Amino acid sequence: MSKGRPRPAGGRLARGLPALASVVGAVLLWEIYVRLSGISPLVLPAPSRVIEQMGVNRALLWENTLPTLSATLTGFAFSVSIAFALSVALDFLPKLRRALFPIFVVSQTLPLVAIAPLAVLWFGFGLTPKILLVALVTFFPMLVALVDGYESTDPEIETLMRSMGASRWKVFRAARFPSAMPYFFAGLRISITYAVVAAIFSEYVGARAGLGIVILNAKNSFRPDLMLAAVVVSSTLTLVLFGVSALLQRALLRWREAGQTR
Amino acid sequence: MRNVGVTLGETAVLDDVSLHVGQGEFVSILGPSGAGKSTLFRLLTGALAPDRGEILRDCAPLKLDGQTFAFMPQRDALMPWRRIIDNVILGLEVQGVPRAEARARALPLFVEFGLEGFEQRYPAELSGGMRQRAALLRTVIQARPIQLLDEPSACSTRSPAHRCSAGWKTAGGPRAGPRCLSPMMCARRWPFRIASMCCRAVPPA
Ligand SMILES: Nc1ncnc2c1ncn2[C@@H]1O[C@H](COP(=O)(O)OP(=O)(O)OP(=O)(O)O)[C@@H](O)[C@H]1O
Ligand SMILES: [Mg+2]
Repeated sequence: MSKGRPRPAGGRLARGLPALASVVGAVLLWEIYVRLSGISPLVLPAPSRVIEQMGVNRALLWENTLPTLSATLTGFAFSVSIAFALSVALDFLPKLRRALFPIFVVSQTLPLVAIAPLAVLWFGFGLTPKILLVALVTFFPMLVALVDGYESTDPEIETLMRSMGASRWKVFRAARFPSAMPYFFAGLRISITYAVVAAIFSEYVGARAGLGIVILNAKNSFRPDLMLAAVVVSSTLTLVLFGVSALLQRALLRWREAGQTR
Repeated sequence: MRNVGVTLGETAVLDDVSLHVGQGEFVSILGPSGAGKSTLFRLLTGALAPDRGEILRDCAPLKLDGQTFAFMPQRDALMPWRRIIDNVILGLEVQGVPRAEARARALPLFVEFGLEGFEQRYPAELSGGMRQRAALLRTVIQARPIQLLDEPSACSTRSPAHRCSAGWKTAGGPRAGPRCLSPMMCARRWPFRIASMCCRAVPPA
């Protein structure tokens, strides 16, 4: 019951150990296979070579990570703001919801492979098509998370608030919105990973810089080692963003941990 | 309430219910599970409209303006994301009392409701009885003319019952005394009447 729950020292490390062990094991197997089979690095480079390339090209990789990060974050911020504003409107106007939801569902069926080149064709090589593509991919999951979250509100809490004479808006602010927060963060964690993939893909079809461009150039010059180095960087970027949103959730939803002994 | 009837789905949940509650009166409504006690309250809080009959207050049709009743639901309906103190002041907040002032008004009552030291805790950290008492405090502090308590069972255990009833008087203030409608209320100190609902609603076969 005390405020600082005692956590066994290194408990989290111990819990992460199996995952770490399996990753290290897989990489080792890969390394051993490449060495024993003598396969050409032009087909399958060893992990040691990929790491070496990351070191050699660290300036190039870093320079190209920043545009990808900024495209991801700008697009995602744009998409979350629109999703939030719209979710509030839809919560108050169920008719609007029935009218617009089919459109959003259709937007999710559009193949990115076709839309991305079109976006570049229409909006050029700048940031705009990237923002739009990231938004296209992440907008609907965020909207659904929020709308479902509002619907998850305990009806007894709403009845109680109405018995107090609360307005519809007050009920939204005090009950429906906080009820949606766990859903919102669940959506956030998933969408942010989609956002990175969308940003890289939109760079791949047309951009001046970015990890997508590094991957494209490495592919065109038959450098799988550099491609994989860029992939490692992009995965790391995704993991970091995922971790940041998890931390954000922990900081903002501390009540969810209350009452859990561990 | 005059000849009130409610049909939910196929079930006649309330049939020809009449009940009069006078000023300063404390009425307990007893009845087996499923008799329709909570449904009566849903009518009074406006969550449900009667299909037949009428509900009057001071001879005029009851206005559902949220000014008349303070309602304590059967399940406590505490907001898990709010600390206990902020759950307790929800009604005052809705009434437009600034948060700081509402908290200042609520804090002295925590001792009498057996919740001292738990002001800053979240509902998940409280026992079932404590949650019920927090919900009771949230109801009482609204200082409405009529209180509707749906099974405030936290007051059925001995020691907090005493403290609760004391707290109730403090929070209710020097007014003539609240009118209460309460299924299963234990306190025996007020003018006290029991209305019984004997039959359980039976869905048609
Ligand atoms: N939405 C509904 N549709 C159909 N029947 C319902 C609905 N809500 C409640 N009922 C029925 O109405 C009856 C009365 O319910 P109510 O909740 O008022 O009982 P209660 O007297 O409060 O019981 P308890 O003591 O268990 O809380 C029950 O038989 C229940 O099945
Ligand atoms: Mg009930």
